[in-house]
Amino acid sequence: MQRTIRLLPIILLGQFPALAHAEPHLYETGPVEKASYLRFVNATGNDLTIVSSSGQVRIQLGIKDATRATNFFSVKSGEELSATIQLKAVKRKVTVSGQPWENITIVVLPDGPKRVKTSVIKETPTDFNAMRVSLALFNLDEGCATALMQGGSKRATILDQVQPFSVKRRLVNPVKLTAMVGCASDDQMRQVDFEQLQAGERYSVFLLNDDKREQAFFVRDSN
Amino acid sequence: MSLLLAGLTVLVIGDSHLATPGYLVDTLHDELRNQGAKVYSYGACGIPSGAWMEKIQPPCGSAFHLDDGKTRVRDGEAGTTVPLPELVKKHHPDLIVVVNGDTMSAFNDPVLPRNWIWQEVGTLTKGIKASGASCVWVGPAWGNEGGKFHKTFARTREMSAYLADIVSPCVYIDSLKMSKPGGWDTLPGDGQHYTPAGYQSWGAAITQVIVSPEVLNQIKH
Repeated sequence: MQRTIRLLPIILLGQFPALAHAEPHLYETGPVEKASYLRFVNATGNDLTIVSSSGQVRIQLGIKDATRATNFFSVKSGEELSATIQLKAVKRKVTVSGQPWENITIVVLPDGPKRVKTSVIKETPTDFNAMRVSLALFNLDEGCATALMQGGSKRATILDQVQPFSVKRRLVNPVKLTAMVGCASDDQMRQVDFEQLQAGERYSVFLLNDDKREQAFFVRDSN
Repeated sequence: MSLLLAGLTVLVIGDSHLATPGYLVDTLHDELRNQGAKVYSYGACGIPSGAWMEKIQPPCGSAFHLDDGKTRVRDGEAGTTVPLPELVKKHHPDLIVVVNGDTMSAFNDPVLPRNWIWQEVGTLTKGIKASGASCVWVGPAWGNEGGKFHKTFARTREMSAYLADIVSPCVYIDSLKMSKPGGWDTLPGDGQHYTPAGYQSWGAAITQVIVSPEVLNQIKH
């Protein structure tokens, strides 16, 4: 009888492999490491180069619409990161660190005719939705007290009251959209044509003044 | 017996709930076959959604079950995942069933990492969209609170609601509607993985939703 009892688990395990393998090992139920997401936007009137602190990565930023912005780069949150901005012979170091899951936009701005300065805009978005479209307006024009975006044939307000170096964001339906973007105090609005907005996509619209003229453009937020 | 999935090839991919014999890799697999489908099931323990687009070695093994074959378990390097595009090329599925939620719920974190989950889910749904197959996404079931994964009903509810917003073009299947909280027994000290009876119930309930007119009309070409 004693022998039968001892053998029983072995027989069971042999007959039903599921029971021998019934419990998964412990594993992470979240990300191994918390990240932040970092991008650069050129709001000057000149081409720029961003150089990583190691010197191994160099990114060119142009002055024509989407060439002004990088994609988001995933970086370790909480860690101080630095890069150097080069405008011709002028260099400026920028240092930043992010909270977990924060989107950080480092804006490079003109500081007189030959120098640059930076402004950092941070947001922790929560409006992710694959059936709708996330539309953001970044006001990078320090001379514009409140920026706004209107759209549709009736020029309905989509986003407004966006103060300098801040962002507002909202979900809209995936429709065909041409928006008018500008400063609330200015009659002259800039046209931004998205054509067909894609469901699940996230768009950033930037209003800037590069010391030559006010302009607006959009990029799709992507990593 | 109804054969509402007759003529369809179904590819099932998922996490630990499909990585052990007796789990959904068998129960859901068999229920779908009983509806007339050809079924190919692959589970990789402990991986987030985006990992299905690459070759990775899961932290706690994998399993696969090819139609009328036997379930095979693989550990270590042998358990390396087959990326979705390769699985699609091999099996030509009409329907892809994703079972994934618990591995991204971050039960130890006070805040749900929405940005990270968005990217993981988006990486996979882009791949599914490119495949041309229809898709359903099975969200997490209630489980039980506590256990070694620190699962909670509140986080499970939050995760399920979030997945419903972000898995399109997949049709979301809400497992929380299939039982009451704690309604299916989980393994002692675990909270997240079910007893054989629990996996039997879950597999049957998922299949019933897939073959419901509401879902079937969206997935049949």
